[in-house]
Amino acid sequence: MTDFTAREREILFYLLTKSEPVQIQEIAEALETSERTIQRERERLGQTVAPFQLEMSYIRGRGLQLSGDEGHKRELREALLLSHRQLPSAEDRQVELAYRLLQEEGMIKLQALAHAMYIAPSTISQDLEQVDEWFCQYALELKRKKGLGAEVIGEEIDKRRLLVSLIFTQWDVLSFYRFLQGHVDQLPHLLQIHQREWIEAINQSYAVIVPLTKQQDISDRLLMRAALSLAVQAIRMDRFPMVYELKAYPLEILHHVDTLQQRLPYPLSIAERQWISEELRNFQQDQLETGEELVIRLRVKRLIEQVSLLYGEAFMEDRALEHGLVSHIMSYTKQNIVNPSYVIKQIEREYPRLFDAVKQAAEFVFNDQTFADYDLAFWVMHFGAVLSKPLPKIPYRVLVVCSAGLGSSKLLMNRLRQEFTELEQVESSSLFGIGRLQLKDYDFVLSTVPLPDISQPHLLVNPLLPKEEVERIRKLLVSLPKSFQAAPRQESSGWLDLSRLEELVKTARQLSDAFSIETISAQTEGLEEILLEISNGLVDKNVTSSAVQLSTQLLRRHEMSGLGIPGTRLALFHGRDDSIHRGGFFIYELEQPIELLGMDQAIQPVERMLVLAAPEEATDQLLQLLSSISGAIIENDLQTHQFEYGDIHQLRQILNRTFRKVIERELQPVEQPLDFSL
Amino acid sequence: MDAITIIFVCDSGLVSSVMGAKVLRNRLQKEQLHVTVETCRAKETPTETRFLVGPRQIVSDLPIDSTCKVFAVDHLLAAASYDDLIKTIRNELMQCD
Repeated sequence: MTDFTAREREILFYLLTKSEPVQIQEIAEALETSERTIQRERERLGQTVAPFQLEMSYIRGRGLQLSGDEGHKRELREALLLSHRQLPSAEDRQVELAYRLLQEEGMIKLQALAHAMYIAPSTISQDLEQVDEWFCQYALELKRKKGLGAEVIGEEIDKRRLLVSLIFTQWDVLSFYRFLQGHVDQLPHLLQIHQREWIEAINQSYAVIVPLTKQQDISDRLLMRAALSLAVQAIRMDRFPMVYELKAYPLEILHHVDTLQQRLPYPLSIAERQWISEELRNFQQDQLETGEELVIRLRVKRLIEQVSLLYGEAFMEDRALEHGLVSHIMSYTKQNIVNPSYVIKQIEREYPRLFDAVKQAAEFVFNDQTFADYDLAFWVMHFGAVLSKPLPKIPYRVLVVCSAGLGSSKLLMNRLRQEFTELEQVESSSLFGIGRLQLKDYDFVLSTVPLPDISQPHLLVNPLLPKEEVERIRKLLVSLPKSFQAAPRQESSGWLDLSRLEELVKTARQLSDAFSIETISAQTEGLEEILLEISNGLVDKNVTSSAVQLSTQLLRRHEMSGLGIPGTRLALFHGRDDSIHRGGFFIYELEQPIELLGMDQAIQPVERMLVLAAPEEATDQLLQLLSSISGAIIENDLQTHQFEYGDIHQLRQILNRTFRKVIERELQPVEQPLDFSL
Repeated sequence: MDAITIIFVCDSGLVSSVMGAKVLRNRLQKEQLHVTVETCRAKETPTETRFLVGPRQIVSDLPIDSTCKVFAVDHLLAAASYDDLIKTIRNELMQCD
């Protein structure tokens, strides 16, 4: 396993997300460091990535770029992830911030926090927003006073609960046990701030609990939680005593508390006994309280992040994915799971790369909880759903207002179009021109000059639209009431050509019915023989009248331009002439691979041949449908893979899906460019 | 200024042009260039075509007007094959802004 310095990891992670060269200054800004640091690292980075067959190239005037092919970049990503454990993420930083605030008596200046954590005060301010949310979930509040600092307000019991949850986000059961066996280095970074106290408190708490749990069957996780609860109490009870609240607890619980109390070296007040009672009650009910949800949510976030890095696709923007995964995991312990292994097999087969990425990421993030393959399959489905989802388009109308005569409006409009593909209508106006417009026609207004009070949501922006501005506008978009509506279904109007539709459906049906996957026997050696065998078969199916003419045509096309689809085991043979009667799509699996010319003019081994045939004079509908198949083959990696390895059922499904899209388009009356490839 | 249309041709009109057009459209979308791509058989190329793209063996044989810009592609499925075309389109769009 390669070792990277923290700085190297930062820079490499950043560059891995860029496909174009990036200016040194930009990298320095993004990573909150100096240009000199980046320059210094430059050469060493070149050496670091060399073993991955990658190059760190510096292009004068344009900047730094990590170049090489995607496969090698992926390997680098994985190596970085493996050493990623030591690299604190933004969440880790926020957890630490929350921890420090909770452990502070009274107010603490944000400057002091920034200093102690070696980060910029502006980062603290940003992090506080997330931390605020967590506090809110635990009925706590962060009170801020200018000049004095910040303070956590709330009940001690809630503070302790949050504290335990925070520790859980940083510590898994396996490391916890190693720690108990004496590996002090397994103490999470978070608790190293008060190292000695925690080591003593946790070891002591565990020693107290362990003999008591031998009689019952208690899960590792629960045991760890119990130890942490007690340890948190030991650490806090002097400075942050509990406040008693009149409540009743079952006798059994009170009995347990008694037992514990006897074993503890310090006396417990009534209020402190209550802390233990509360915790015990939660264990008993086996409730997944908000504490669990915080942990799960953070872990899901990390899972999504890891999968994105491993799979090479950004899943981070999908709220539904996060929500779905959290719900699934939350209900995990309650479900009586019957294991339908065929579902897993199917998912593994249809989404192998995604399955692998999710599995790796899950093992990394959830390594203390045993999750079943069933869960894994489920999670892959969630991620897979994001990939196949079309981007929802909510048409926003925005008005851009600038002072007349300055070039800023053009610049802003271009930047908007670049960053926000969801903006359907962008119009501009001068400052004096807005008097003539109906502002209600727009969802929001962006201006580069201060505006008088207007009714619509409005932002004053920098026309260059730097990152922060883009974020502000994104937040604004999300807050608009329109964002919560489903995209309006377009009113279907206009004349539906029923005979065209009938022809389309009839042809689709014919193609589907005739579609087959056959195996070519091993005896057939050369391409010519194989094509002849296929063509003979097609004569039998009434697709063509002359096997020789068809196979010659297919052969010629291959020689002219290559028909192998690079990076796959497929070749797409196609023929169109007057010897062909009916259109068709057929698949032939070869028992032995054959070396063919690919579309990139390189020789590649082919094990499956796809054949598309069309008559010289073909109906529009047939052409549309056949073209849609060509498009479907390269629609996305997943689908290509299904064409490569799918069986008859899977391919029928894809064909059905593809044809359906064509038919749906026919039903839409909107004028669209002829896009047969969908 | 008229909207720009790129015509993608090939021999059968079923595979090369369709697949190539898909790759090209993805690139155009990524680069935020709002132009239309249509496919057709080489022998059915519309006369007023201004931008023509297709496999090298096909487009090198076509009788083309001098007003039409032709782009020959060796590897249809590689996004980089369309660099020249993209550059030309971008210039074209900037001139009309």
